[in-house]
Amino acid sequence: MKNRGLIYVLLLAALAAGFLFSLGVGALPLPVMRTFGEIFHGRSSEFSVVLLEIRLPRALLAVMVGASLGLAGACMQGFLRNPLAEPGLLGVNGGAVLGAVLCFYTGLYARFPLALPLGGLAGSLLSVAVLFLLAGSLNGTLALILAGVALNALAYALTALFLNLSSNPYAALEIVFWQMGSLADRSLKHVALAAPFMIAGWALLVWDRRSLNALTLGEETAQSLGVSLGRTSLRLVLGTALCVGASVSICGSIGFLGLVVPHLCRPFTGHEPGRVLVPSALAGAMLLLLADIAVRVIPSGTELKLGVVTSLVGVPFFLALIFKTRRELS
Amino acid sequence: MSLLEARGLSISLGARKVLDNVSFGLPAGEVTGLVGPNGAGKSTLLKILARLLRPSEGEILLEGVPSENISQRVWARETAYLAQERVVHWPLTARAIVALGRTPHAGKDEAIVDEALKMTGTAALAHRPFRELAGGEKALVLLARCLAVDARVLLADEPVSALDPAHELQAMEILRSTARRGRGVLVVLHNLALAARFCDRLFLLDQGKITAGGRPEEVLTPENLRRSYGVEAVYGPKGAGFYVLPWQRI
Repeated sequence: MKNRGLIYVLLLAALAAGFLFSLGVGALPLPVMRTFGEIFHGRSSEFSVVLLEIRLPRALLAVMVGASLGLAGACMQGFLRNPLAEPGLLGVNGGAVLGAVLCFYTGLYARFPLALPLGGLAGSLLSVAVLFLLAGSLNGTLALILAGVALNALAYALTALFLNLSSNPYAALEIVFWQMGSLADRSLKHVALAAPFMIAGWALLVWDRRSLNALTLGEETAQSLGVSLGRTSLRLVLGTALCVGASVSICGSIGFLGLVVPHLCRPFTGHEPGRVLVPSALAGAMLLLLADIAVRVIPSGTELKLGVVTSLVGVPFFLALIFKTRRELS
Repeated sequence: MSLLEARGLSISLGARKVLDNVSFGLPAGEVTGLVGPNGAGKSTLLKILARLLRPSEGEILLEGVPSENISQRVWARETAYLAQERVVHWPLTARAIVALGRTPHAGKDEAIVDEALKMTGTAALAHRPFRELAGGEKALVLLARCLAVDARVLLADEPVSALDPAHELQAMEILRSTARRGRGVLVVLHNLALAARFCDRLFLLDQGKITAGGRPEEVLTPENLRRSYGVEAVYGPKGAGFYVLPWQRI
């Protein structure tokens, strides 16, 4: 129990350190505490502008998006009792990408930049509504997974169709780059837009931690312990749609984080699905902060996209997981 | 008054009528056995009593109160259900599994978890990963999980299947001592010798209907075993009771 408390303390300390480091690092090295002092005393400088307009939104979004992906990944793996489950499995990511791409395609984004995240959010929430219609009563995870697979396939096919039909090659290129995921050029407006949806999503996801633990014993036994499968799946899917939908809408697709982070945390939390939630959120936030620092400091002609880095780092973890599963099965 | 009472329960799964007008009572302080051939509807009946399935007709009463007047969470506190499948999806320790029995209650209550581990003789296994335990040990840990619910009714679906004789006897002794502490225990059994040895009362379920009910010697008669199972059995006296051993198919 003491060790489990220690995990929280260590993760929070690492997150705080990473956050401060993220504010300071970049093309313009920035004395973080001194700049905060300037802002506090109402003085404006080059540093304070960079901090408030560029670094702070970027670091806040890294924490919020990383926490959302880590938390939703842990919830999906616990709910579906599948170590390979990830937040996008139920079609939420696909819906958000499609919604955002529609904003690019129709030119709405050019006239009203916040249309992009709003379109993404609308897409993810719409995908949940379709998921509920397809999966029926939601009293079983298999129907949910099948409906999610169908939704993802449809969303990606429609996204490809809009790319195909796009008459403007620059718009198509912009869509492709946006899908790779990035936290660059986001403002505090993006933070304010995403925050309510993410906080509501986190609350819904954390609500069912005891139900996730009970589901370890299978759906029937969990139900006999008072777990309502219908209500639990509704909260989890809606919570995932809100926080992951908001994440994808704001910064595009960021792969592998939701899949990998719960596996890193599980050995330190006794493998209980409910206990792994908060550590996964904290570790997800910290890892995305580190990845975002990496894309800024790795020397390259153009800044690397965040989704590219998380995928490149995530794939070896994924392969290691496959080998571990293979060893356990043999 | 029975602790748990089933009145006229019927259910069809697809075109097949699995239970047809089943009524019986489960008294406190006794082990009630449910026996019958495969496909007779025993597991379905237990699932209805645990409110995992909704009957098409009939009702269940807990101390005279209809189940529809009792919330799912309260029902989960009052009736512990041990499923036939021994599924555990994550590598939890035995103690963490047993503690899951406290899910319907507000707190974990470590003392009740400890007591359940002690009752089943699994305290020494508490910190071992469940997946690494032997079959008999796993069955006892899952039984401890069921006891940790601290419910007044315990519904156990084939708790001794695939266990060696020592573990079979141990599991049945635990169920009997649970009943003697004022709980109502309903257990599905295929082992007729154990049913005769440990159950205070038996119900014979055949093709969805209760065809016999009463003390073991009244239910496990040659005629009933011939009709329901299609087997001849060997009987003999043992202490104050008797033993029964299915011997050959007819």
